[in-house]
Amino acid sequence: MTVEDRLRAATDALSGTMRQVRPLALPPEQPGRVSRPREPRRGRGWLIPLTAAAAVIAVAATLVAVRDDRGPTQAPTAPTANAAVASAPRYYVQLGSLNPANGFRDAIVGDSRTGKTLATVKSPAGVGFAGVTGAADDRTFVIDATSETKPIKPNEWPPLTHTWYQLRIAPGTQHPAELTKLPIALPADSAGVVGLALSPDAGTLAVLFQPGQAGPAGDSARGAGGPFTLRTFSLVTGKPLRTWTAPEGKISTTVGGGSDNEADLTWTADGQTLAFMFPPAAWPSYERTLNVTGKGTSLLTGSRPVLAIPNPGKQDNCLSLLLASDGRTMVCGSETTGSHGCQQEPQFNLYSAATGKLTRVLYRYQGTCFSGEAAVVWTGAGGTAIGVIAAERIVKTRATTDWEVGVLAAGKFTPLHVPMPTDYYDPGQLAF
Amino acid sequence: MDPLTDTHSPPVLAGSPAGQVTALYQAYATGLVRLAMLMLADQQAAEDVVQEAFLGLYRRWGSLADPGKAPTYVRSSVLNGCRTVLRKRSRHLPSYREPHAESAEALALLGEEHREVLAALRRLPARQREAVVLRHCLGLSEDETAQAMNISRGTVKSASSRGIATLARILKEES
Repeated sequence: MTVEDRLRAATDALSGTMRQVRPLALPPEQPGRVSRPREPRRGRGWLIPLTAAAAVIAVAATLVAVRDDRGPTQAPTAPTANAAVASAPRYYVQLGSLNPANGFRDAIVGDSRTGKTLATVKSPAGVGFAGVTGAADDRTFVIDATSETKPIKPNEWPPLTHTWYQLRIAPGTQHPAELTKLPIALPADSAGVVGLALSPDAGTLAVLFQPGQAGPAGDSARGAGGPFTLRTFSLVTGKPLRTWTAPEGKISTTVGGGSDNEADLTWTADGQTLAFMFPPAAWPSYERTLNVTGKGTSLLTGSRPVLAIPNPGKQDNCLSLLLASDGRTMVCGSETTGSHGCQQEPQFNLYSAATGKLTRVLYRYQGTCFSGEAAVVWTGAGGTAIGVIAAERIVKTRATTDWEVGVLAAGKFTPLHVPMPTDYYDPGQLAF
Repeated sequence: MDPLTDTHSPPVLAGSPAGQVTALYQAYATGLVRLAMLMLADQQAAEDVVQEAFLGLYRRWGSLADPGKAPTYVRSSVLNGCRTVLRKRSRHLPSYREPHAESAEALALLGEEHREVLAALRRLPARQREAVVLRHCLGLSEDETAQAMNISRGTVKSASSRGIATLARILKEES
């Protein structure tokens, strides 16, 4: 019996164990309506039901101690809700869901204050958008686009080529978005990008990647490929500026899968420090900071661990973690699972970068839900962060879908207009 | 016969968008859940992914240039959903998000031979696994597999042949 025969037999056997598939539960909205930004809710506001592992509420959350049950630290002076909205970046770029016309994701440029889509940028022919990062000027973004090239040798895994584009936005003009190819190149072998971050001054792009994942025919150990490499590039010339690598073979994480910023790579506001979770998409893992002006080329000895990522099974786990732009604190988003339900609500926590200790709970989801997650998308100085909260609620046997956008400040939620039309949130698909 | 529908003819699409999407769901859901189960080993998670894919289709129904391509579109959405679930699982300890108990019970009903094959399948790298599942478990053509995975036919060939070779090696090692 061939392997193919065995596969078919196993598939048939598996089909025999399937119970009847539950009926489709469509929302009452008309098609087209549900993809538009919603009007802000009243009353319970943004605490709304969302579908399994999918529906997302994007929340701009200021670092306000909505609930502090971890220690005596007092909350900093909280900006008002309006001030928090004003201090957060206004424009965003989001990689949307698959465009049925070409099978790739469009880049949607939007105004988070008005909900207006300024431009929809289709990916250039032959490549698909995979990740986006933004500078501090609220106008400059860099997008990673990928394409597969021919295998180097017969039966080898085809290398993934990354092409980089600058997306400049100009709200209020006739050409609100301009996409320009950058002369940046990663190594020619297949490279899994797990981190991308544009410096605040838009002059340098940092990319964390794992090269050399292609192996000989039949080799299943694709994920244990080359050494993780952090490299900075000049955006003007495309030339590599600095490179740091982790010891090969010591990190066995399998990377890839469509998300470009698993490591939550980010810069501090002064452009001197990079922060990232390492190893990415794994546990145990550490948040590390690296001074880009320092000597050396080792990713591990050249960087400093500032936080051991909390146990994924506990409430203060970190689904995502970003160093604040002032480098003094870290904002962490947690995830809860169906087995825990929202007895353990998804929440945002604040950690000290100096001590690595949990300072306080910034915000905790207050509604009922089946499961949920909180992810940090952007952090700024003065205690401002933008995050994503996803929550799922099952009503009887039906999962309902909804989402809403808003700013949380001083214990108040102020809706924003950042639609999350994709089925899932992946780090690197949304940038401010 | 479409391997994802187990029927000889596609559903007739007429009426309201909700009605058309529901008709597609009735025709394709079982096959797509089977696809997601092969990827995720958990029927509850598989059904969630398929439900979400059809919700996405419903939301974008008005922008579909050719409703006839809806099955291809939703198949790609299911694969994307599976990738995301697997990515999230990879972030946690293996015991953090076990398959739903009912799915585990159902898998236990499979014979040892089939369990070994399915376990080996899930040890493949993601794209090899997708290519093998679509080509050899579900019997899609190279073109259909390429469309679903958004890759070239050549890549389908290399990924599936490499996946089969890897599977053979894993199964041989475990025998």
